[in-house]
Amino acid sequence: MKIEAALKSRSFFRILSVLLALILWQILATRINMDMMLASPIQVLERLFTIWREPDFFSTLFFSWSRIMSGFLLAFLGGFLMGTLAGALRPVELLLWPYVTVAKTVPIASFIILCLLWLNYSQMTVFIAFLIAFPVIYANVLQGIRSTDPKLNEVASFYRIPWYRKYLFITLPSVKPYLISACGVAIGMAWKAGVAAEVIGIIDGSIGEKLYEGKIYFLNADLLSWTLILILLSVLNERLFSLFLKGVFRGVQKL
Amino acid sequence: MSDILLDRVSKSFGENRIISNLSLRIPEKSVTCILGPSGCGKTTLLNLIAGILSPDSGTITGVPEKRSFVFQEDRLCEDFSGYRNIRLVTGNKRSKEDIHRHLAELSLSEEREKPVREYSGGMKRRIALARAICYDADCIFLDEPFKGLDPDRKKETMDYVRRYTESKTVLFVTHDESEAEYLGGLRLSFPLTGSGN
Repeated sequence: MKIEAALKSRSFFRILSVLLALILWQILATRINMDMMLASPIQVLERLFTIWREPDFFSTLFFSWSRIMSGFLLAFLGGFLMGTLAGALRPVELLLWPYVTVAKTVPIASFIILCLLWLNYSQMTVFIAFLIAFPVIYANVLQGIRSTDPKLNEVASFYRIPWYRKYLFITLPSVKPYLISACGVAIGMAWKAGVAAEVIGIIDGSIGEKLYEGKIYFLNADLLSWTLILILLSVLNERLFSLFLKGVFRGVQKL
Repeated sequence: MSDILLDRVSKSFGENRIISNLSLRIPEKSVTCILGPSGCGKTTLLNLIAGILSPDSGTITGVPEKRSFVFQEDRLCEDFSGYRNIRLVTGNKRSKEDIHRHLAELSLSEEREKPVREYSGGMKRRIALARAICYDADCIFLDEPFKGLDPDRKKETMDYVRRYTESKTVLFVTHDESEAEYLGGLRLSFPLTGSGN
């Protein structure tokens, strides 16, 4: 009975798919048989055990984390504020439309190269993370506001509920699922774009610089170890921020 | 306050004329039941008097400023408790204890802190009713307020409405003769055309 339940569970299949991917990776690494082209999972695991003992490990993590998450938080605040304003006032949406469209459609590499000319290197990561996350948050907040039940809005105007109570108790619950899922996507994108900016700009003391060094010195195990650390950081930040947002929404419900 | 007066009111939706040249006097501080089969325009008339819809022609005067409405659908915030749904419209004008007392009168004490999405249809209906009553309006619009209630609950709920609507103008839409009889007052039976009282 227990085995049957385990077979049906999602986590079982997740673990199984990760194991299969690791086996595939190991087979590929054995076939290629060149550490500098593709390190094996075991080599990467060994490197992970030593990498965190290096003197600049935590400062590198903090350097990239603080800049990427600052960019994301600015995008969160900006996207939330502008999305709310655009939801309430159509002219704001029309006014923002060209900027949001440019941010959504122009390849991030173009922005990175422009930033290399315009900004200092430490500002660049913040700006790129902001630029990639802002349209996601903005569009989802706007969508959430637009999907508010018009019948509840009618109740609010019939009972003359003050605008701030209407916003907190009718509009925000409708924005909630959009915002939580948007933040999950935006954090992942901010990490990807932020690190890409660090690699292209070869920013001193960043994770991007470590990835770049991994490439030029053929330290494939280093490159893959830092990539795994990046994935972990991105997922951890995504989960923590989602918990934080859910807590905030729970608090609002109790007001 | 004064009587509500409808003067040659008409309303159409596209080609479909729902109300045609209707004149009516609805007495203040009393119950008026609007009766008729489904789809005959009862809700349209109620929405016109409440100011949710505008007439194509004619005028409606004398509707009190402070109004509450039990809509045909419950229109509750599903994530919030029954208590919070009522609090949303009353603000701080009613105490927590007072709202709890209203919920107790409708046999909803145990469920008052549960989110509305966990309520049955009948429970949601009673919350929508308590919300309209607790708002303390001068004029209450009830659109099939007892829909989906079992007979015992229906009687309890109708008693509750009777208790709290004395000296208020109540407009009550139903297709159930027995409900109209129980609440008493003036009866307007659809189809309504031309002049009436």
